[in-house]
Amino acid sequence: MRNYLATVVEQSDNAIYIHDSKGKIIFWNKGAEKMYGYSEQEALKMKVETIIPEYIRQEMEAIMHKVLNGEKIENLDTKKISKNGKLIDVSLSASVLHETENDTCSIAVTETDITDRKIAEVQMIKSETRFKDLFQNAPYPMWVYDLKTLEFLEVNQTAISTYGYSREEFLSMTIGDIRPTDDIPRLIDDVQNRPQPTGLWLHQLKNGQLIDVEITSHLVDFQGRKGSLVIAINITERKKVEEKVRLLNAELKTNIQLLETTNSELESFSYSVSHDLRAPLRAMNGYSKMLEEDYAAVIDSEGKRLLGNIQSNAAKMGMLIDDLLTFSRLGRKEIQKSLINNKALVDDVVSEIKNVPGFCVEINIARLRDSYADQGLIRQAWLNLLSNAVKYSAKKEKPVIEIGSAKLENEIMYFIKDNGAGFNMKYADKLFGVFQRLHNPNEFEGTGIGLAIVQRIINKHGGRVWAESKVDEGATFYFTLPECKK
Amino acid sequence: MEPKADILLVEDNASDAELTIRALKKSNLISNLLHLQNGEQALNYLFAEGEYEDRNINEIPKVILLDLKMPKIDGLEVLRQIKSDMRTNFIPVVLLTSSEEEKDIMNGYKFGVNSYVVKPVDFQNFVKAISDIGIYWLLLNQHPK
Repeated sequence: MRNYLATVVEQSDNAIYIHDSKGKIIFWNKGAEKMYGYSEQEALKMKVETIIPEYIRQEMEAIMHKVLNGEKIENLDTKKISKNGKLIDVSLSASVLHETENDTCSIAVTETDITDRKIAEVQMIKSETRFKDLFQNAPYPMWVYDLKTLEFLEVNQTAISTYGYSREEFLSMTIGDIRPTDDIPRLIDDVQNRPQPTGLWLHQLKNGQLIDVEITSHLVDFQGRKGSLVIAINITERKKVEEKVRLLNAELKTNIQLLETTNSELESFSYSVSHDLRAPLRAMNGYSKMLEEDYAAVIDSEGKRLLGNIQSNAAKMGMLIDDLLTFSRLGRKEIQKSLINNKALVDDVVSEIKNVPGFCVEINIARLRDSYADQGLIRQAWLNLLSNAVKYSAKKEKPVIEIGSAKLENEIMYFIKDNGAGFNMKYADKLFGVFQRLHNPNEFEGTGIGLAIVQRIINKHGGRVWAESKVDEGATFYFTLPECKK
Repeated sequence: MEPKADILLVEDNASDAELTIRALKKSNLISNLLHLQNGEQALNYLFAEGEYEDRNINEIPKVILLDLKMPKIDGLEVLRQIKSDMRTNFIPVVLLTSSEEEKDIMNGYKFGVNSYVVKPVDFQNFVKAISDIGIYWLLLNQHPK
């Protein structure tokens, strides 16, 4: 039996050793060898003081004295020192052994290394301190309240400065005291029946002011009481901003509706123009013609001139209405893009223009890049620009028009240059306005919508249009289209 | 009893009606024209109802010249009723209008119009257009016997 025990002692991971009443070590197991770094041989020549740090030797001596007198020590946390000088935290148990043979007393000691446990304990204290710091210095009001009594158990500095109560005041209050009275039933119901990790509440400051807060809470164990850790974020400003955004959105919606109404009114307006404005014009034109036909014998030449003026004005108004309708229809038309061979398109437009009797303009077309756009609309733009160039250069002795294109960054630029009448750059901004004309009707005819249509077409494609000119030195019109993307 | 009409002109605008009649007269196509002032009258005439109760419904015009925009019952509705009735759906209908709105043109063809003509503002062109219509539908075109 004694042998078995000896083996158990020998193999134990714990340090087990015996020293006599003088402190001389007389037994030293493998666990002790491992823990202290002294071999059995070395230990048996040592006194037990060797493994006790100097600053607690006296204390330990007193304890051992008590043990010799029969007191048992169990699980005493203390420190020891190893062969290489390292401090070891140990849990120590010791008791006295009586050797009846020679009537001497010795002390048996068992020690467990608790260094790791101690380190963990220190870290825990550190992290608790860190948490307390976090809590105290958090930029948001925080507190812990008792889930049963709703009393504040702890509050942080930000809560104190935000709500206006001192810490002592807080700790004598419940969380109901920082709410408007009306909210208390809902609060109690929530806490008791459906605890939510987050929520929106109205809080009342000490000065009576109400603030909107967003609450985040976690269940915590606070000094043995079941509590809830609360972070209260003041969202009063955010709510104000949200309200403003909501109002702005509503306003935007109203404006869009207004715009839609205006658009559909415009549409029905241009529809009416198309129907109703033409009929009386046709009548004016027709009746004056009938007058001319049926009463040719009694109307003298001056009368016929006047009738002719009525007719030409009616015809002009007809043209104005047609152009205006084309312009307004453009605004509603969806563009349908396809790959356009601009060279072929411009050739086609030129052949159409050349059909006019007395056409004498030289037109030179350089390389024209393809574009990805609405074929019908781009044809209209080319037609308007070309007719314009022809119209304003026709009175020159040798009218020439140059057409070409160039690649810019992300877009393609097209130009059409004439050597005609040109215009003063001072009025360049008026060039593309509806009904804006830079020349008198007796100089050059026109309704003043052609370039407005060009601008609308190009803008609809995401391009730009502009012009450069000098009076009597011709004009160059430019437009761009986004680069061809297949 | 109304005389048998070859051309039914449905037009609320008196001036347009007069110009149209004059243009047809010039081409000597005016023989049997009946001018009705609005859509309601046109439907009553075609289906022998209301004021035209006693009319012989089997006497059908060779062509109907129909204005689009009229008070109460507009041209599109008249067209729709003509084309959805077995007794009238074979009568050629020409929409004669000021509108070149894509929407109107599309709707006209959807309802089965035989021709859609925009009245020119210029009188000479107008006379030409009307007389072309008259010649085509009255002389050139074959009608069911």
